[in-house]
Order: sequence, then C-alpha cells, then structure tokens
Amino acid sequence: MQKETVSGRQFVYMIILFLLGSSLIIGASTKIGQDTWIAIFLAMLMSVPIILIYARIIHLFPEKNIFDIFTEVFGKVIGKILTSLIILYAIHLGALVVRNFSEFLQIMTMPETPQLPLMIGVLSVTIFLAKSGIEVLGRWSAIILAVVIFVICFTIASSINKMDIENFYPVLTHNFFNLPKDAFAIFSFPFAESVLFLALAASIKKESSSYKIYFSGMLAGGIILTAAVARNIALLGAAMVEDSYYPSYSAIRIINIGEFLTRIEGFVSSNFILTGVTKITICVLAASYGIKSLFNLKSEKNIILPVSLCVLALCYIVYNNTMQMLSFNEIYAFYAFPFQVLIPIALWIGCEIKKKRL
Amino acid sequence: MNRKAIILLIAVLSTFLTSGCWNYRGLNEMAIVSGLAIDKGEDARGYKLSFEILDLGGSSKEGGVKTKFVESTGNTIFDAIRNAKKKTESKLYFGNARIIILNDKLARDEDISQLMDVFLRANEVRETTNVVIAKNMSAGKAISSKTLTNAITSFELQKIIAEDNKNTASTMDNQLYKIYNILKAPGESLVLPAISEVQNGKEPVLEIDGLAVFNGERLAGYLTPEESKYYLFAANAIKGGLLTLSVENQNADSLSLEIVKNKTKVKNVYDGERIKLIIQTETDAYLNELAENINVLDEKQINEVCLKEEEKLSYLISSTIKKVQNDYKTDIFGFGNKIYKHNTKLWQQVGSDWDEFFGSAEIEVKSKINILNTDSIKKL
Repeated sequence: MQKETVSGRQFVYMIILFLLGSSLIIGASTKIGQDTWIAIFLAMLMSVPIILIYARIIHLFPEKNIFDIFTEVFGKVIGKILTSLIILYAIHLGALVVRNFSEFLQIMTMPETPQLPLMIGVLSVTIFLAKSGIEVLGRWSAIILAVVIFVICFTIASSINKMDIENFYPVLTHNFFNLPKDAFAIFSFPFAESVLFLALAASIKKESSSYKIYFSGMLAGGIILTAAVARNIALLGAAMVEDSYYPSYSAIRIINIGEFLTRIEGFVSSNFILTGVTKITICVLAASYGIKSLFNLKSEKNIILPVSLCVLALCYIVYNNTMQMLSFNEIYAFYAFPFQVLIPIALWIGCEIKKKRL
Repeated sequence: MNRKAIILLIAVLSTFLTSGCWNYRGLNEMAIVSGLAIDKGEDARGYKLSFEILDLGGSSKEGGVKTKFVESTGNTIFDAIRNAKKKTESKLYFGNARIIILNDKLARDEDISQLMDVFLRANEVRETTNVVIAKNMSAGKAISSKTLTNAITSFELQKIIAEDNKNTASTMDNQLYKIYNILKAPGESLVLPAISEVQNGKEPVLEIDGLAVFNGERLAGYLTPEESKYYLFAANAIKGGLLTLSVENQNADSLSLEIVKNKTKVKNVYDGERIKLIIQTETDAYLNELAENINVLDEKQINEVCLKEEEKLSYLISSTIKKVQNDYKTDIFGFGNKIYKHNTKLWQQVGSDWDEFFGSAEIEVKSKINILNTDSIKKL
C-alpha cells in the first residue's frame, strides 16, 4: 500500500483548525477579562520553545511518527510505555473536545436532547473522516479553514457598529500573577496540544520544513484566536466575557444590522462544529497510529472505530455536569504538562544523543 | 444483490425515521412572547408576571396580528414563567421577546441583577432584550395598555426606546448584556428608561418618561425627560434631539437647534481631598426653527445665538449633575469608570469610595455650539 502524504501547507491548515477547535467556542476563558488577548500573545511566546522542540524532533527523524521515534530512541520497553501514554492522552483529549461540543449544543441549542445522540452524531462524522485517511483530512482542512476565516471576518465586519473600544481598558491592571497563570492555561489549551501532530508527522512530505509548518500554524492560529477573542471583548464587555460559558456565541447573538441581518448564531455555530470535528479527528487518528505501532498492526484503519468508541465511552463518563468541565479546565494545564512538555523534552534529548552517536 | 437491496432499504428508511427534530415545536405549538412584565406577588411574596403573546390564530385579513395577555404567579420568576403553562395550550417561547418591564416598587426593593439573572441564563432570551421601568403604574398594566400604531405593545415600545436617543434625546436604552456589564463596572451606575401613562386625546397611551436612576442594585429615583437630555450630554451618549432657546424674548423660546453630533470630554483634577470634574461638550447643530428677527448671514448675530445657547446648556448640564449628586449620590454618568479605565493611579486613591468623591465633586461645564446650517431659508 502506498504511504499517504500530506503537503506542508495542508499540514499548516490542520494545525490552525486544531488550535481553533474548541478554544474558539469556549473563547479562551480566563479570569482577566479585557486582557485575555494579551494572555494569548504571551501564551504564543511561551509556546515558542516547546514548538521548536517538536519541530526539531520531526526534523531529526523525517517521515517517522513519534511512536517509531520512541522505540528507536528508548528501546522497546520504554518506547511502548511512552507510546501508550500518548495514546491515552490523545483519547482523553478527543473525549474532552467531544464533551465540550455536546455540552455547548445542549446548553445553547438543544436543551431537551440528551447528550449521547449528539456525541454519536459528532463522532460518526469523525469516524468517517478518519477512515478516509489523512490525505482527505488535509484537503478537508483547506476548505474548512477558508470557511472558518470567512465567518470570523464576517462576524467582525458585521458587528463593528456594536463594538466599544472602551471595553479594552484598563489594560493590565489585574493582579500581577493572573496574566502568566492564564497565559499558561492558554499555552496548554490549545497551543501545546499540537504535540499530537508528532503522531501524524510520518505523513508530512519530505521536502517541507517542520519548523515552518509548526510556526506558521501556530502564528496563524493564534492570530485568528486573538481576533475572535478581541471581537468578544469589544462586543460583550469584560464582565460578560468572564462570566459566560460561551462568549463567542453570546457575542454573535448581539449582531444586528437593520433588523435584517440578525440571529445568525446558528450559522456561526456550524463553524464551531467544523473546527471541532477536525480536532477530534486528529485526536482519533493520533491514537489509532499509536495503537498501530504499539501492536505492530498493518493498518490503522481498522482501529479507528474502536478508538472512537473509546472516546465516546470516555466522554460520556468524564464529567457529571458542565461545572465540572469548567473546573477541570483550570487544572488541565498541570494534567497535560507531562504529555505536552516533559515527554517531548525527554524525547528531544534522547534524539540529540542518538543522532550524535550515529 | 439481495443484501445490497436490504442495506439500501434500511438506509432510505433511516433517513425518514431518524432525521429531523424529535422534539419539534411548530409555530402552532408555540406561544410567542413579545414582551413581559414583572410585578411583586400579591402577598408581597413571589412574583406576578404578565406576558404579551402573539395571537397567531386569527387570519391576517382581519387587521393584522393581535396579542393576548397571560398572567401567572410563582415563587421565583422562572417558576412564574412555567406556571403560565397552566393557562396556555403551549409553552411560552421567549426568542422574540423584545422588552422586560419592571415595576417601580419591585426595582426599589429587590436587586436588579437577581431579577435579570434568569433572563441572561436562559438561551431563548436574547442578550439584546430591553429593560424598562414602569413609573406610577403596575408593570402588568403597562404591557396590557395600547400603543398608537403597532398592535403589539412590546414591539412598539422597544422601537420607541431604541430610536429615542436620535430623535428626542429623553432616555437611554440599556440591554441585558449592557446592564450586566454596567452593574459589574467600577465607578458607574445604571440608568434604565422609564415609561408612564399619558392622555393622548381621550385614550391613555404609554410614553417615555425620562430615566430611572439606580444606586447600586436598587432603584433610587427618576430624572425628567428634560434632565435626561443633559444626562446624555454629560455621559457622551447623545446622538440627536433638540435644544430650544430665545435670544430676545425672556419668557418663551423661539429658536430650535437640532443636534447633529456631540462630543463630550471629561477631565478631572484631584487636589488630595476633592475631585474636580471639568466637562467639555462640543455640539454640531442645525438651526431648524427661527421665529425671531435674526439675520442668519450675519456672523455676529449667529455667534450671539451660539453664546446664548452655550451658556444655557452648560448651566443645565451642571445643574443636572448637581441634582444627581445631591439627591442620589451615585455616578450614573460613568465619570468614575473613565478614571478607572484611563487613570489607574488616581483610581487607586479614589476608587474605594467613589460615590463619596462623586457626591462632593466640583463641577465645571464648558459648552461649545457650532451651527452648521440654517436649513433651506436664508432670512425670516
């Protein structure tokens, strides 16, 4: 079977959509209201070193994914342990994202529908998309990204008359420690979650530079996210942004041009779902690639359905209610730290030593 | 072949059986609420709500849409909303509610943010719903009274409030999300539009009646429509409206200036004890009515009109601010919020008891009027 490859550019699109995934809808919630956009910039700065490490790992071992590199660098036993850890992280992250969406749909649009059918609905699309392979996902990303960017620009343009620049003041008067704290939360969700792309790295076309892919993806994703957050602040004001579960959705509900262009939130929430589906698919694919290498399987295609069912089962039991989801978001940064930072750093050091010896 | 046919059959059938909304509510099963009013419950416990509901039953040939009224009571506001189902065939739908009317007494006795909580939480209610205070009458009576042109009272009322600032400048509309922000913003107090009933010919109709002033969470009092205009000047929120004056005649006004654009700047001076607020307004206006013997082409005479109006305007703005300072001691103009946003150092000194500082602040108003044109007539 011929190996599937994705061009560098499509990989960038995938990273952008992955970063926007659920953070677009939750709106990078922080406790610092009008300074959230600064926290996003700080988080982008914080993620530069870690992204350098990710890119360096791909650069050192081209056409291999993180699981192959684990075995090559650490040997079979430790490699398999680390592989299973990353698989668990991918499945858990997928479950968290699915849950974000089902909670959103239930609270905002379908309060009477139980969440399970919503989850199954979202997951059946991702199963289909993941089964079609990473090439299709790359092409899908190119189209969806255009839609997503159009919708964000459109909502910004159509809400300019309701924006209030005064909402951004005062700048940086919150407690000194809150800014780095919130920036760290945004660093771990969504920026450093891009660690999962190491699992897909085997499909990158050989000639494209991994540094370029990671950096342009992060930069573009960060800027789009900042634009969306700035739109929310300008429209809603700091207090509403801090206190509502889904500020983006609330902000879009305010748009009203001459009683004609109004109530477009249904149209916009499809935008959230498109980015979410991409993110979940990437998580499912990453886990499937991991299981494939863990058990030395021939193809990952047969694993996708079981992995998705795991995601479904986990996302159904992971929280009891929406409040737990929000409180978990606060400690998520610490939970994800080993997967996002410690394991990649260990791997990177191992890679450098291994390459020196060769 | 046979297997394929069965699969195809299942696929086709499932598109019919599983698609669509299982909890579909058609228009005929919805009671669309156009506005609602909240009063205190009868024995001072709980709430009494009145809903204006669009009556979709009658055909449109018989004179357009009609409305019906439903009243219900409950321990909490949401309880009262659900209790309305006891009287109606279908559940109330709030997606089109444009206005929430609060009773004067309710707003005086209970925290507004607690009253508004259920509406901000609910996904059906828009964040852009307007909130109004019914002055001198029950909210239920207000929503059930007739308006002049539109059969739907809530829609007409909402339109009147939303367009008021551009035309008569006698009130200020505040929507749910803005109310939430203002209540949480340091150094700013809430104002809401007030309505009351007046006689129009023989029938009573609703009319805008200035602003309701809040001190913190509770209603404290009212500003007249005239004072509301000068409030809008001070808060840099005026977008239209008229200024009337006279140059020669002392008793009656004979000139009308229509406000086109206004810009208000506030500066503050702090000497360690008291704060001094310097308010500068610059207004562009058209001269639309001139029943006096003034040569509009003579710059001197036009300047005299400007000077006279500047004097009058600055006096009225400062007396409105002084009235708020003395009677309510609450900063509805957002002067404190401006300091909080742009002068953090000063805010750290005065922020903790801003209402005290505002109440004792010295006020200086400087107004500037530019007359841009005199409509289509050169001379009287």
